[in-house]
Amino acid sequence: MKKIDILHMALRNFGRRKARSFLTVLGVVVGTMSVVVMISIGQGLNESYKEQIESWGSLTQIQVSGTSTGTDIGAGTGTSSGGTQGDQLYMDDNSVASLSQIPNVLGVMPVKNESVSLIKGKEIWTGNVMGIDLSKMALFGFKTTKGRLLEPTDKDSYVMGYMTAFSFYDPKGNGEWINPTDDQGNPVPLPFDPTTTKLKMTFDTSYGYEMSVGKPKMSKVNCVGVLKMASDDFSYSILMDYNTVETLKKDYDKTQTSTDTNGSTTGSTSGRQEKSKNKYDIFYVKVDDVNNVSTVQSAITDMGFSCWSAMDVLNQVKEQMKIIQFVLGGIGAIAFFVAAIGISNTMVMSIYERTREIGIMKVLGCHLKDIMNLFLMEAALIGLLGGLVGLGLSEGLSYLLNFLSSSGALGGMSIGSKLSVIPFWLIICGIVFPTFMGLISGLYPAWRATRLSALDAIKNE
Amino acid sequence: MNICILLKIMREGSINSRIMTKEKNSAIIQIENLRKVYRISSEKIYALNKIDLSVNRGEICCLLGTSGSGKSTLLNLMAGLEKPTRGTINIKGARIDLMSEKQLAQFRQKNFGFVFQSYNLLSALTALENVTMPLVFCGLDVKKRQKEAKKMLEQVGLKNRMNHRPTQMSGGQQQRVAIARAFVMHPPVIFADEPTGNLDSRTTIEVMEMMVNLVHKNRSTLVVVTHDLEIASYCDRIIHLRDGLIVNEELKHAIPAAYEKANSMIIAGN
Ligand SMILES: Nc1ncnc2c1ncn2[C@@H]1O[C@H](COP(=O)(O)OP(=O)(O)O)[C@@H](O)[C@H]1O
Ligand SMILES: [Mg+2]
Repeated sequence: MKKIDILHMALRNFGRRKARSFLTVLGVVVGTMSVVVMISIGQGLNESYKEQIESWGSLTQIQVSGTSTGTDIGAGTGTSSGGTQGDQLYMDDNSVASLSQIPNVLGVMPVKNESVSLIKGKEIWTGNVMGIDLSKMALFGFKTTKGRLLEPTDKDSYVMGYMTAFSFYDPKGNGEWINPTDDQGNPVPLPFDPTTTKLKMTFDTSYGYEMSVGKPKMSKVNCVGVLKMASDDFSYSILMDYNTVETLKKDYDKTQTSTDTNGSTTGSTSGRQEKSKNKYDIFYVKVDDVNNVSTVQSAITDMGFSCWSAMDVLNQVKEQMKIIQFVLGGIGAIAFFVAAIGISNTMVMSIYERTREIGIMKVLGCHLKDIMNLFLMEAALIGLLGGLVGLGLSEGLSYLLNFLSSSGALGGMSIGSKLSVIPFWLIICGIVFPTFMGLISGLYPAWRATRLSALDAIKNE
Repeated sequence: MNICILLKIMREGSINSRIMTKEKNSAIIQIENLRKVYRISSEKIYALNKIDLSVNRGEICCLLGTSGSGKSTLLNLMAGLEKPTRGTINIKGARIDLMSEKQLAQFRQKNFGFVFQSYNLLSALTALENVTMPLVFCGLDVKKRQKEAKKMLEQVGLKNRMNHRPTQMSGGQQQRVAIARAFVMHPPVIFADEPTGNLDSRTTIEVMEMMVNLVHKNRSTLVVVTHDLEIASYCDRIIHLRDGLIVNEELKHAIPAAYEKANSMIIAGN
């Protein structure tokens, strides 16, 4: 028998019992939908978390926050021989160089943090100015929402983090906080334009408060841009050239030592010596690919640094998501299993009904293989059709869920932009899997059909 | 009724026309020492016992006997629809009794045609589709099988009933569809189990004439089961069965072409 004839016969039998075919297909539709929608919600949650975690810092970025063994940092006693850097790890240019050597590392950006205050009339912001290597800035994909990024020649300019722009307040008044995001977590317009507003900067972080003494030295710098919204460290800081920060800080310290007592001067110099070995506070390491982050991270750890990346969190979340997806998928799978039983049941019923027909076919010399294939084809068709319709309805339902969640109708259910995401592989699975399930469900009935006695079928009146 | 008797006389008069000289060589079905036992709880029923039989190529052979004598059982065994308890069945040199289901399906497809008392048409299909069935099973392409099936339906006089379903046809018409289906592959052997059992006497003659004509035309061999002596009168050989045993074997001679013509003229004239 030709394949096309088997298909034709199967379609015909399928169409003969319309109500029953419809109900069986409906079972598969419901099964497919429950699996697809459940998994799509799992996927949606997954992607939402990913989005959120990425906003804390790019997934290909590793933060090296220091050396891991406590004795290394500032111990300084037995290791006065500064030349042997193999024994001692410091947050210095040597470490930057050796971290850059790790395979798959695109670049290392060292950062030196200093506390500063920005003054905008009565309002003050106190936080970190991050002294960075401007030549590495491009690697880390900074983007501005206003103004521009720093050029390597921008010595006396800085870029402001998004959150910083929202964090100015009047310490003496009851300043009103402006929320940096709307209800859906999207950015809102900046409360003022830092590139045109006159802002003063000082390293005296007590400026404007009651304990502030005298008139601190103001540094001459101007803002050229504001970074796009993010939740990483940069967002809560301002960014400036490393050398500029050092120079400005030195200038400021000079004015301070002249007013300070002797004791405090020596204290600060001893701290300075120790600090000089740890030239930087943080290294940002850029990795070429998300998949290499873990290996690079363990290489960094092996070298004796302590580090952290958003991938750590993402991996943890992924573990939890696996459990959630397993539960969601399991609920769907039960519906799917019931649908499979439905197909089997329909096919067995159909065989009882068609005993005579099958018998006649056998008497007329229809090969067992063809009878088997005919029933398998019918079962697979039910699966395929159910899968296709189920998938179509799932797409619709997914769209509806996303529409409802983005319009806020589902309350706090959604974390990110989409509640339900149907990736391409799920579409393929949504077609292949029900068809395959149909085939499996059809196996027993098809086998039964081939086992029917032709003679009994013909005698059966 | 009159026609029947007339035909019988005509056929009985044709004794000399064809002499079975090559009887041994031309045997298409050979059965030796066949036995079929049904076991119902502890009781054994000998549906067939010690059956020795050979049917020649081109012969119309009748299995005659009362109800329960084992006619259908014998036919089913020959057709490979059942396995014998003992003995051998040889058709066209092949041992039917030793074949697997798979081999049997293949063999049936190529060599056997069936006509049953209850027509056994597929009720969901039209006459044409029913006749096409065996051709579909052997994988013939659409054009060829349509052509063959139409030709066959024309031969049984159902040219304008091709797209009717079994429920829309009379018993005689349905049986003619079944006959067309049985002959469409031009098989060497046709098995018919009480083919006219559900038909009135007029239709019975129609159907029997048609079968006999087709058997001759196709040079097929026909094994027909009946309890009706009238039907038996169409046959070259009559095998009487009683309680699973062959009690009498009556050999007649084949109908010569001239008589066939006469028969059909009588039918047409009627
Ligand atoms: N499947 C079966 N199981 C038990 N006994 C059977 C079966 N088929 C036929 N028989 C018995 O075998 C004998 C012959 O039956 P059968 O060949 O059908 O007779 P008939 O000559 O009427 O066609 C009967 O006695 C019948 O009861
Ligand atoms: Mg019978």
